[in-house]
Amino acid sequence: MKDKVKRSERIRLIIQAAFLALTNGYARGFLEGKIYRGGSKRFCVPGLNCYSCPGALFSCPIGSLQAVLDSGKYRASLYVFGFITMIGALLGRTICGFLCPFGLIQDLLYRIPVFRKQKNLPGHRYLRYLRYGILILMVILLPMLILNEAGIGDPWFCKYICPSGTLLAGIPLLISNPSLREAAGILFSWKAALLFAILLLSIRYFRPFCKYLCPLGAFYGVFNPVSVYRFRIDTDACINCGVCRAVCGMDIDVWKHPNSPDCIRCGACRAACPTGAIKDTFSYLKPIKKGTVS
Amino acid sequence: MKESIKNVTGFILFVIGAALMICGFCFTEEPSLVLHKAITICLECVGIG
Repeated sequence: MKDKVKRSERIRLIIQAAFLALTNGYARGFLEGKIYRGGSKRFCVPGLNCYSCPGALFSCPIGSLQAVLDSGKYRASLYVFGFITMIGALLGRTICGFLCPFGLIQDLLYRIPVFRKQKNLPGHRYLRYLRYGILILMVILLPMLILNEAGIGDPWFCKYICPSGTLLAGIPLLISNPSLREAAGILFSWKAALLFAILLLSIRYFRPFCKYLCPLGAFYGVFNPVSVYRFRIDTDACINCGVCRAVCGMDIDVWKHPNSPDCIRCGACRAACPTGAIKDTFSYLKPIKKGTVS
Repeated sequence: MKESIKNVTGFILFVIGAALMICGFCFTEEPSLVLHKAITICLECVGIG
């Protein structure tokens, strides 16, 4: 069982790394301290990938949503909102488990064998709702409502919180671009401190940013119960052993809530289940073998 | 909620999302806004602006 879980995790890691390399393949940007300016940047990737990352070939959906709402031209977004709705309805938080670069970074940090590993921060029961507040307030309302004299707002989440932007964009650009380095001030210090805290916490606690702060995960999680790709429990096969919860980094009672909004669909529970009771959408599409109870 | 209702709900939401995305892409300036923002270094994202 442990081998199956490890194999499943290894496959997931490969997919995460491959997608990161594919969507951030503009290596020249890292060397010259510039960003890619091609037309592909009008399209969004599904995960939290800052478009100011020197390697980024596409745009971040949260950054793009804020760019539309704070432009002063639109009170709502069709294109970006439609994109994340489509992805959420199709896959739910599977994006978090397989295609998000900052999720990958947290997963790698959690593998470092120091500190006694824990799943949740103290106060987890209430902290897990903070991400919804960040989504509503800092991604939607504040960019739309707080405007300057020119009628343009700020991307509040990107500006004050996003650690993915700091790590993938801020730090590489400041390293390779002396003029930007000179302009960095207290805002960068705040974001760097926040990034450092999240990375440090990620070594001991499983995906703290995803659990408590990520607005994109909050949005996708709403779709988890109804997304086209989701999990189901074969109640005849389930023996209530609790192994699924034990291996679940998001600390979910999988056999009771297989499509919890907290679930990142990493598949560890499916790999660990001794009776194969946890099934996904693809399981129900396979042809039924003779002698198998469906 | 029955599985069949969840399936239909998920599919309908997917179609709505796709329709919104296509309409926004074809009939609004959103893609240009996104592109314009994305090809300029976002000083706020970097921690300067």
